[in-house]
Amino acid sequence: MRVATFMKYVLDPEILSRDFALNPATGLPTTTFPSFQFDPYDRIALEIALKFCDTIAGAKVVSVCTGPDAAQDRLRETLAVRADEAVLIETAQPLTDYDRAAVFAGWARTQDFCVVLCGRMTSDTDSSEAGPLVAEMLGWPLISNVVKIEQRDGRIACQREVGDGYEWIFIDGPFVATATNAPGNTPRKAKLQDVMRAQRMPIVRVAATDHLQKFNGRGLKTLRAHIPSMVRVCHRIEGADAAEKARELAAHLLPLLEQKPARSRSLEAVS
Amino acid sequence: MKAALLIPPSVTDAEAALGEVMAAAQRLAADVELIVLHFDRAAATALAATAGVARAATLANPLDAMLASYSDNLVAAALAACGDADVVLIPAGPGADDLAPRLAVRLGAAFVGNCVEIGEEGGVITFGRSICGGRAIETVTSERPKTVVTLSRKRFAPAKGSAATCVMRIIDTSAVTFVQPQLGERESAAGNTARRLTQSSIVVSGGRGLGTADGFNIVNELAETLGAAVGASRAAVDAGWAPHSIQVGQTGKVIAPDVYIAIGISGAPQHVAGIAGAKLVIAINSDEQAPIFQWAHLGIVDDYRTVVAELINALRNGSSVEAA
Repeated sequence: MRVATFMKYVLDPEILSRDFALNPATGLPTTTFPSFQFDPYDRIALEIALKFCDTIAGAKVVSVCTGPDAAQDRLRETLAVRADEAVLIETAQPLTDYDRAAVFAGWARTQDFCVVLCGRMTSDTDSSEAGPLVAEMLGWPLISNVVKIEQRDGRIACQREVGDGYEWIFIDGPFVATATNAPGNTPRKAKLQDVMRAQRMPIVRVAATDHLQKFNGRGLKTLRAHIPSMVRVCHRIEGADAAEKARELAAHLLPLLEQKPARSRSLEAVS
Repeated sequence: MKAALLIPPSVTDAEAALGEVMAAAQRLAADVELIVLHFDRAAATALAATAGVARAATLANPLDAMLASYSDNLVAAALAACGDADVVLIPAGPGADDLAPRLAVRLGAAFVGNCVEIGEEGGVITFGRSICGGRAIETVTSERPKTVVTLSRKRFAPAKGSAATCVMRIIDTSAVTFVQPQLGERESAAGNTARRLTQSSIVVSGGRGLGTADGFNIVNELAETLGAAVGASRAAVDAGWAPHSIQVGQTGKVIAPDVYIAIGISGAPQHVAGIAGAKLVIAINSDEQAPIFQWAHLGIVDDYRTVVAELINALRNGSSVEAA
């Protein structure tokens, strides 16, 4: 059994605002100090895949990235946390989620995966389309917002987040799952000896052009991109001590609360 | 231009969502039809009436919760319902995320995800979509005859149509093959907390700056005093101090309360992206350099324990003075 994790190489979502800019020519995000990593939700997908395969003899996790040559350093991080294989589908340009999905799906259909996992959204495009598009392009079912996968009685059971809780859904055959975070699937840290071992492991390199699916593209034309001016002038509440500051804040809040029916209920409840 | 306003079964506040989608449709000056896949005729008519929609459609056999839990069924039903629309508008959320990109592929349509604004330039409709955790807005146009759009919640002020009556269309899905998913046990993670979070007018959130999981005790107490919902930053959730169901931010719930109080939250971009629609942001943090102060309207730099304890006292005293 082979499980693929579709890792998206994205601009570091935690990059400081002062380092974030847009390329005026392309409208694409850029940065003074380029820092790219795998999407945080893809790392969660990897963790779910690793936990799933830990319980099945012979099961293998293959981490796959569509990205530039530099992405292989990140792929080694996946090997360091015990992914069995790593594949880089090499692309020269930054890709939209549509293109990432098309390239990945084109390659994945030549493989024998039973599950493809990826994060439920992509942090650079703010889009949740990669997983659903891969499912559509492969013609496989999609199970979304998965937090855990198990094998039960020869079938695969996915625990997925729904509303305010979770449900289990059983499925046969190959499928695509998008992963979300939950207690218990925080990405694991690599051990030093595994980091060393990962440096010696091979990374399979594939040309993206060989696997670009003949879909129509995302059908959008980018006119421009801009950074909205959202910085506000913050009124700092000063005071001799915390109590004085708190009283001034309460003075701001109380008039607002007068319009809230919930306030009277809650204040009565605690008094 | 024909616009289908598609409300997925996962939307828990259908009236509010429809109002927002109506507002977007009015920017397109479109002839609108409400599509609900999981309501019967009476419920769909009632929903249409809340927004003054003149035309609505539902399935001859509406999807039950079991069928709707399998996204492939939603895609098949939506395809049957929205085939003749030029634009399909869907409120963003977990259900839309699964459905919209796949529907776009099947319709041969362009897909605009996370749309935050709709405009027009030289007779061409433009869509503004949030990228990079809300740090930037990408303005795009569709290159296809059809476009599927997911609308970021709380970014379009709800609007109503003027129709007094609604013409209902019943969609025959006898030719559609639905899959009966095999579901196991269900469990509730946090009662109705997440729903309260998206619908409450006041939200109090805690972050890593609380120091420990116990810090949420005083956050909860303040929320109770205010009649507010409780949220958490991703850092607090990742630390295991709060459940994911109450995570606020781009990777959690996107909210737009009247008052948002951030306690011990640094203000990472992905968190701020989730509160962009909040009317009044109040930050309490001991780090005066915390980025949250660039986003807040009001700020207090001090130890949160003392400030929040005093704030609770002041609110209770203020309340009792008024009551007297």
